[in-house]
Amino acid sequence: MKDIILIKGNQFGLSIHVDENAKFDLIYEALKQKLIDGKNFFGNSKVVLSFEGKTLTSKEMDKLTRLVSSETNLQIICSLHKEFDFDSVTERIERVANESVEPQIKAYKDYIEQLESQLRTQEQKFREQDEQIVFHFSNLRSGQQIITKSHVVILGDANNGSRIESGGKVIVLGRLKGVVHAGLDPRQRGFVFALDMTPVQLKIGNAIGRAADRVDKVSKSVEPQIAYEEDGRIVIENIHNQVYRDLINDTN
Amino acid sequence: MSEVIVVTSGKGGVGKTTTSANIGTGLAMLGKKVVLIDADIGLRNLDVVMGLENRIVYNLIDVVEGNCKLSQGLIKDKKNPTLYLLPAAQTRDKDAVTPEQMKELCDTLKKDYDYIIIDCPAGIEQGFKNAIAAADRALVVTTPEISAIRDADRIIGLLEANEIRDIRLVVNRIRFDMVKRGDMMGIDDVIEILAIDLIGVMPDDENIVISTNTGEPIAANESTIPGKAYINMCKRITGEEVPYLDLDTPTGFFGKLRTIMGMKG
Repeated sequence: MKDIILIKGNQFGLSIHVDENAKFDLIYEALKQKLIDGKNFFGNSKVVLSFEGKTLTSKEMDKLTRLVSSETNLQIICSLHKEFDFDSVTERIERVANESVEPQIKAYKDYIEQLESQLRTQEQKFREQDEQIVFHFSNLRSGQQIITKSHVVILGDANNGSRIESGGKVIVLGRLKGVVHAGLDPRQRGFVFALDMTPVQLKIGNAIGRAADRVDKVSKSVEPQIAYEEDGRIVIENIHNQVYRDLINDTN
Repeated sequence: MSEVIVVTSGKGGVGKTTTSANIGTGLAMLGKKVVLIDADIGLRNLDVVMGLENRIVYNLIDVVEGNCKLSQGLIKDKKNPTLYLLPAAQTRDKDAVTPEQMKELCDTLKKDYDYIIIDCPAGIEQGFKNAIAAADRALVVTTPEISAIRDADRIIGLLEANEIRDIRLVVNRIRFDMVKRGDMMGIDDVIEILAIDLIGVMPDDENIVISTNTGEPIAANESTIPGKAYINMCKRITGEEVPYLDLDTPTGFFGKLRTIMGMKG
């Protein structure tokens, strides 16, 4: 049987992992048993309790925290759930920190700051992705990648070893030799346009196409081409007026 | 003004070390004061190519860790009095040096030398990061092969990300007869893919292999075509404008005969 409660130590104190599907009564009893079993093990240091796994109400968390403090000699600075909101915790920690400058608390504050800055950069990333079109103004080199929900326009070549993943359409005003996945967003009808269409692999929506294994030595004349998905297969054809007309009809 | 130039490629075996040795020799022959640094810790080779293996007492790690003075670590070249080599340690690995230490070392060397050439190890890990940390310029060596070009492309991207703006291309081991037959990419094709400026073209010449094995860089021998090409490359590094050699010399008896009879091409 899987343990309902898992207690682990971390740099700030204890993290208590609670089974997602367990009922609260069971959790309470399981925790109590664990605490009694390991009373000597826990000692009497100052700790921050953090709960993981099942989302607990604040009442439930309070109950469990009180249980820990009554069953062990630990001094609990604060308890929180892993998906806590930063402001209230920071505030609480600051309040405690002002009372006593514990290195543990300071370390925890730094940890929170670090988390917050991570969140901020994440947010910025999302904001960038909310833009309609992502432009890239040079060659996309091997090992470089653009992954976005928006459309992508490359003013340059997309070299072998590069990767583009777009929610919508991809336009390469140069040579396309890397891997492209357009139309990741199923609501969008993705296509890929390139002045020289020689990708290693093309994915549009759920359809995958790859380059021919044998390339003819005679260099074919280079023409702008467009690739789109039709009946689960990828179709590549030269650009002509009818294609544009179809596209307009599709997007409308 | 002194410069730190890193010679790099991404892929192994395309000729970084040979290029480093010859550029060092060539620049020294042009009267510059040059230090060659072998950054390939654990897999050192530059000393062998330079023919200085038997003179190594101290190495890069000893200098960086302060086990010896900088002047003790530098090995003077056999022929060129203005050329020095700082060999890599063979018994350690790439983590033995940090990028900061490399920067510090190069800053010290910059005071006394015109050019500091760093021979970069293959790959994009710690050794690469160490090698490019202090670099002002980069020479990217590639052969006209898809795999080498793809790695060079990756390297150029990483160099640009590390704010090294002056990146030039060395196309190594090209065989013009194969290019003509359409079996090998030409120089124009390579430049078109990598989108950086050329600084040197080196033909695939067996004399280069011979000189590498004997430990005497071919740049010292200006009567050979590769020697001439290396000297020209060095002149371009110093900022001189030198036209590219016509390396497209016909081979074989009939080819030579055609040239003599003025029926070239």
